[in-house]
Amino acid sequence: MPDGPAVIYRYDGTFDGFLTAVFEAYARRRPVKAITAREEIQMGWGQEEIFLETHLEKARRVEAGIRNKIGGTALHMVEVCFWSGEEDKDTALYRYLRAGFDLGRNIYNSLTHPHVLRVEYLYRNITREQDRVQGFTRFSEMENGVYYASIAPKNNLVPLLMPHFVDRLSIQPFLLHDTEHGLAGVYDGKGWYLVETQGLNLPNLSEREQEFRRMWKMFYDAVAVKERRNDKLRQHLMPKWYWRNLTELDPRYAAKGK
Amino acid sequence: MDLGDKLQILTEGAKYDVACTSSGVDRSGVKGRLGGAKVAGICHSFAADGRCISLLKVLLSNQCSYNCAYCVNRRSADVQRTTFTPRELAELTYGFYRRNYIEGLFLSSGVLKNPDYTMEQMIECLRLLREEYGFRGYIHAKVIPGSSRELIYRMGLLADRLSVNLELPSEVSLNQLAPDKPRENIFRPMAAIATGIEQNRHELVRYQHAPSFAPAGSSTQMVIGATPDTDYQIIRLAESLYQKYKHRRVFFSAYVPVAGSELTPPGYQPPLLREHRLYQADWLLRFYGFRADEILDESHPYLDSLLDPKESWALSHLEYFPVEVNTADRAMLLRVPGIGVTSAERILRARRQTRLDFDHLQKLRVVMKRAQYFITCSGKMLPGVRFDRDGIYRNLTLEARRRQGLLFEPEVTQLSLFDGGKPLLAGREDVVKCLTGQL
Ligand code: SF4
Repeated sequence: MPDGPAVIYRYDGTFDGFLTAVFEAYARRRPVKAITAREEIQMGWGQEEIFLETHLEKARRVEAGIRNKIGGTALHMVEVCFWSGEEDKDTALYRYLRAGFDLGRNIYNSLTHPHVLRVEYLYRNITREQDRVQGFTRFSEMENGVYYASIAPKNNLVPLLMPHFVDRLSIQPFLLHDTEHGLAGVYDGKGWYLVETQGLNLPNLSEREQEFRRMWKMFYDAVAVKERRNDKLRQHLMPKWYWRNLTELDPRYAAKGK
Repeated sequence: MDLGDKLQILTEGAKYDVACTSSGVDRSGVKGRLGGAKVAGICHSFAADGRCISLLKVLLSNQCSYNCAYCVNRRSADVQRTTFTPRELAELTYGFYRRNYIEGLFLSSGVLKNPDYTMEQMIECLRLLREEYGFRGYIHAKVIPGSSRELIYRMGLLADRLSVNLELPSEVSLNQLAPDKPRENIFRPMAAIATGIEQNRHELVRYQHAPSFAPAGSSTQMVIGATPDTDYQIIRLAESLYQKYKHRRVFFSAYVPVAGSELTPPGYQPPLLREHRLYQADWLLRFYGFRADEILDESHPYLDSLLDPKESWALSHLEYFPVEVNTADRAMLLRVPGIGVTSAERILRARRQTRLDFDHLQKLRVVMKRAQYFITCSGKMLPGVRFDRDGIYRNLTLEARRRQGLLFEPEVTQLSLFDGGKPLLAGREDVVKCLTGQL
C-alpha cells in the first residue's frame, strides 16, 4: 500500500516521459497527488515534487504491461488521451491505468467506474474535436509549392491529425501548424515529423491561391438555402472558436460586386 | 463568363439536393495520389443554414430540356444558364480537395440535350478525375432519369455513390409535376444500380481485383411539402425503397418554393419540423428495428409535432412499459425514449459487471429526462415518477417546449396554424445526425 504524504511527479511532456512517470509512481509506492508536465500547475506549501527523467526502457516496460495485463484498447485510449488539453489528463490516465492493472480486461465493461468515466470523457472530447478539425483545416498554397494550414484546437491534435493528412495529401509537402500549442507537423514529401514552433516566417501565397479562396467562399455562400438560414445551428455544429482559420468565413474573400 | 460565375450559378442550381454525406466507404491513400475516404464521412464546414458541407455539390449544367414544376432549373425558369467543361470541374475539385475544403465531388446536372448525352459529359468529368488526375476522394454522382443501363454502369465504376432522386412521393404527384419523367425512368435506373451493386459484390468475392461499382451504395431524395402526400405514405415508401433497392439513405427535403412556380399557397413556409420528424422516423426504421406501420397508420397519417416518433409510439403502447433495464433485451431497450443505440450497447455491457441503478444510467448517458417514465431498475421506478399516461404526456411536451430554441424557430407561427402547439426539439445528437446525415 502506498503511504506517506502525496507527491507530485513532474516529467518532460513526452509520451515516454509520461510512461516513465507511471513506472516510477508504481515503484515508489507513494500516494500520488498528480502527474504533470505543465509548469503552471504550482505546488502548495509543503507539497513535495519529484522531477523524473525520461527512461526509455521503463517506458517500454509500462507499455508492454498495459498491452498484456489490460489490453490493446486501453493502450490506444492512453495514446490518444495523452494529447488531451485537459489539465488533469496525466493524473486521470494514471488512475485509469491503476484501475486497469487491478481489473484487467474487466475494465472495458466497468463503464460506471469514476476513473474510467473520466478517461472516457477525455477520449470522447478529443476524438470529437479531431473529427471536427479534420474537416475544419484549410491549406493554402505558398509560392514555393508547400501547403500551409494554421489550426487552433483545444486539444493538442497535430500528432493525431498528421497521419490522416499525410495519407490523403501525399502529393504535396505541407505544414500543419497548431498556434495554440506551438507545435507543427511537417510533411516533406517523404515522411513527417513534429517541430516546436512559436512564430513562423512563411513565404508569400502562390498566385492562384487568392482565386481559390475566393471561389471557395463563393461556393460556401451560394450553397446555403436562404429560406433555411439558422445561425444557431451553424454555431452549434461549428463553434465560433474555429472560425478564425476558416477561409469561407473571412469577409475579405466575399464575392466582388454581389 | 469566368469560372467563379459558373461556380456560383451551378451551385445555386444544385443546393436543394440535401444529400450531403461523404459516408459509406473507407479508402486509404496511395502515395503520390490525392485523396482517400472515411466510412463515417467528414463535414468540412457548415453553411449558414446549418447544413453540413462535405462535397463540392454542383451541377455540370443548369440547362435542362425538362420542365419539372418544383425545380429551379426547369426549362421555363428565367435563370442564367451555363455548363462546366468536364476538365474545368475536375480541376476545381482537385484544387479544392488539396486545400482540404472538401471530401470530394457531388455531381448532378440538368438534362443537357438528352439524358445519355448528359451522362457522357458527367462520366467524362469523373473519368478525368479518377484516371488522369488519380483522384481517390469521394464521388457521389446523380444518375439522370431515363439514361441507358450501359452509361449507368460506367458511372458506377467511377463513383462511390450513385443516386436517382424520386423527388415526389406518389405517382399522381409525379405525373402532375414532372410530366417529362415517367415513373419508370426513375425506377429503372434505381433497379439497374441495385443489380449492379449486387453483381459487383459477387465479383469481388470471386476476384479480389474486380473493379468496384458504387461501393458506398445508393440513395434517393423526396421533396416534402410540394404535394399532398402524407407522412404515412412517405415513410412507407422510404421503407420499401430500403428493402427493394437497398438504398443506404433516403433523404427528405422540405420544399422551398422556386420563383414563378405556383405549387404552394401564399404564406407557405418550408416545413422544416415535418422534415425533421421524418428523419427521426427514418432513424427508427434504420437503426431501431421499427416498421413503418408501427410508427403511423391510415387513421394516424401524420407524425406528432410535439412528441418525437419514438415517444409517440411509447405513449400509445404503454402495455410494454415500464421496462426493467437489468433484464430487457436489446430490442426492447431500443424502444425506450431516451435510450439510443449507443446507450443501449453500454447498458448491455455494464450490466455484466454490476446491477444497474438510476445513478449508473445517468453515467451511461441515458437521457433520464425522457427515459425515467418508461424504465425500472430492480423493479422500482425512479422515486417521484408516476406511470400515468396523461402525466407523462404533459411532462414530455413540457420539456419539449423548454428545450426549443436551437432549431425551427422561424416556423413556430406556421406550425401553430395546425396544432396550436410549439415544436419539439429532438436530442441534439439526433439533430446533428439527421442534418449531417452521417452514420
Ligand atoms: S430534369 Fe432535373 S434539372 Fe431538369 S427540371 Fe427536372 S428536376 Fe430540374
